[in-house]
Amino acid sequence: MSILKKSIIASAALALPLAVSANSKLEKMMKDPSQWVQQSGDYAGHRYTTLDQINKSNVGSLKVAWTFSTGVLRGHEGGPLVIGDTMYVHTAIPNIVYALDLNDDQRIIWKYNPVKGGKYPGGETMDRVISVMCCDNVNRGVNYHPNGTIVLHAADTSVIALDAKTGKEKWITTNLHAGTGKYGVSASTGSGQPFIIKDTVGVGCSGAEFGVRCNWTSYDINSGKRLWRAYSMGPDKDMLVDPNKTTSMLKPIGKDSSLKTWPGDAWKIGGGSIWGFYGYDSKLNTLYYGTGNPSTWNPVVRPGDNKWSMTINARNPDNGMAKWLYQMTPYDEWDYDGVNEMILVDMKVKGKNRQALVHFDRNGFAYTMDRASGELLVAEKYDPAVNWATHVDMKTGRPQVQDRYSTAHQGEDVNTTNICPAALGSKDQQPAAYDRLSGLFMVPTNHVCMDYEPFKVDYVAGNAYVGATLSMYPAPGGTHLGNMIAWDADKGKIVWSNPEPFSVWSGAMATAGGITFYGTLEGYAKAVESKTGKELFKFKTPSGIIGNFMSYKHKGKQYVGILSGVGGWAGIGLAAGLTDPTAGLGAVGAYSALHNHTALGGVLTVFSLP
Amino acid sequence: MTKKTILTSLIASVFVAGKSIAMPTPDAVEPQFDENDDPTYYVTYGEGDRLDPSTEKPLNLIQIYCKEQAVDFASDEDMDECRANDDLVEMKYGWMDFSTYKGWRAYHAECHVCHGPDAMGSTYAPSLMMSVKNGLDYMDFYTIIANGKGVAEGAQEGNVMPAFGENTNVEPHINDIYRYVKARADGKIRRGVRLPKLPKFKE
Repeated sequence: MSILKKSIIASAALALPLAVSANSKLEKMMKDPSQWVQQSGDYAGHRYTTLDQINKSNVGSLKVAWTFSTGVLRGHEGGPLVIGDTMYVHTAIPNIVYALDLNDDQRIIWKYNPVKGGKYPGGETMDRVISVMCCDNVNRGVNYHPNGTIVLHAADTSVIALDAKTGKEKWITTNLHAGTGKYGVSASTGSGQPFIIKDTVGVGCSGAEFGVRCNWTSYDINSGKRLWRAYSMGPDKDMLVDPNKTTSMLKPIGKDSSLKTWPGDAWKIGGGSIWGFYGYDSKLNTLYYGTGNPSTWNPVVRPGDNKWSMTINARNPDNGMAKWLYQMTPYDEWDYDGVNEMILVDMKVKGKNRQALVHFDRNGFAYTMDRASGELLVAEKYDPAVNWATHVDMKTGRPQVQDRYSTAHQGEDVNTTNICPAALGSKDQQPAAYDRLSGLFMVPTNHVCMDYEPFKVDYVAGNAYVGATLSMYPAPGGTHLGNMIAWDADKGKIVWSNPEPFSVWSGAMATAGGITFYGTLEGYAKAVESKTGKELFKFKTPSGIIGNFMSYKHKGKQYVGILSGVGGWAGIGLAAGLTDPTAGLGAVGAYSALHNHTALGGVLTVFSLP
Repeated sequence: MTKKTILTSLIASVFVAGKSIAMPTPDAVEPQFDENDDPTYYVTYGEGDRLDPSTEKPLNLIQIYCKEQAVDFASDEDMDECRANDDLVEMKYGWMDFSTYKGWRAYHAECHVCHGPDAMGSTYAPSLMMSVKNGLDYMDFYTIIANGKGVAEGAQEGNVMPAFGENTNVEPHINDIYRYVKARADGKIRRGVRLPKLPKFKE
């Protein structure tokens, strides 16, 4: 509680000194393992706790300490925060936030529901917002600012600052339009976390399946005033790039780098959504995030590289200017959004000390970059099934696409078959963890391939704008849909790999106890030895897990928490199970359906030693 | 159980993996209507299988029956029996007519993001295959797609169906979508979509 009090006093100070103190204060709190103050645990996205009370010798006797039902049934991504003695839990639409008192058996201190009288703050009805959410009603969690604010990025794109103590609204601003043609614009939605840097909060946007032109927008944490907005595509001034100073593959990007790569004004509905997990390096003062797919899914109508969709962005968080950009999948033909988490690690790469950024992309390649310069250091497949490209050319940074898996080369109205990975990627948003002990990355992955048939669709403002059909099935030669793997980001190699019957769709957490936690779609919370992958603990929670693990310490005891609540894209694609359409009866029904294992339900399960 | 249409001529060809494969003439591509004037599916069955030259796997396996039940609806016990005894299994080969194919395509572009692949439902949206199998008729099907549906009775807050009446990627194809879903509900076509369409003929 004292932390909260202090920060309230600090907020009364002048803006400039606060900018420095707030940042360092938050970073200091991140180093305190008894709290979990940001969705990723820290700015570097390690998802690592230095707590070791629960470790590889005793994790087998882990027990459920307490549970909490969120009262909402749809998919629950993200995870809770712990600030001092208070836990903050969010839900899927209607995006309720609970503050729970850890000192008083998780009594609900306050509950906040942004939907009032059926409407979100932006004025749209909840039903309308649901109808323009692609892929379920998920939200990836709230974040905390040390001036005593909990920030929620609601589904209608409203950014809502709440008093952490009382749950009262400090300010609300609606970032974009979730509405329809009445504005003549595409329907944007909010699912990604709000991201706190200094005295700002930044949000991305969702809706690349609705023809949005997405952007990152930064707001002042005290007033809610908009500071800057950087579009994913369009004219240089919209994107906040400097043709001479912003680089890609170490070279200046030049004038009109985006406009040149789209036919006509297709960039205006170009997609490039931002809804994953982000990174921030306070020493380099750089924000890192990835942009999603260009729209539509039919590549034939948008020949060109479609910059800067599918791109890692490194930006100055003070003014938004891009330092460097790297496009992983130029001219996307498979929906391999580049939104996945950015993990910042200082490590040796090929014998040299590097300030590295490690990113496991939907496209099946794991990238190790120099996060200061944007130099590409390693790009290797982290699932051997990946086949759409043979390799990434390290000189140009471009993937070498195989014609037979190119949906543009095969053309409209042709079903391009056996593409690996499927559109949900070798990994979707479920964030990986960095194990500081072994130096390995703990990566939850999908092992699914697809057929993809692009075709022409009309763009109608406010409506879905997809333009391809999709059929998914297990990667060849196996009957499992996921693997939990350990990755060496220097060598670009898998160290161990545990098959899982379903895609592993939960965020991992590594611990100083030598163990890594992850969840499965059937609902198992699992702990494995980080070095070897050996399974040490499992417990079946009330619903499938697509949330992210976190840990905290309260009254001397370590706890591990995870949100259950099956859903998301995984809940759509896998609910009825997948089947290999080429197989005969032998395989029919061999891939069991998710709904035979679990059902809907948002529940937080918290574990501790007995 | 199934009306078998014998194909009489082969005129068109398609290219699969660079090789030409003969395609049968459709006997009919016009929608058919039942006694209630509901448009109904029409699936053309070919004779024997056709192999994809690149994979040597049948290209047009349209349904698998286990003990005379489409595998979608066979019980686990029946499936175990069928896996052990080939005599209980029947394979059907064929093509989707163009309208059913268009319905498949529109479904997997627009509907499947909530209702799941192959009309089989998701964690939160119902299986349309089962809805139609359990009696959802064409008029209700059309009305719900065109007008949407608010919070369903007994359903959880947050389960809504948007209206697609003004969506030009959906509304013109509702008949086709119904034909596809009906064909699934009736066990005429199996999961998975490597079902080549019949070539489009000028009407």
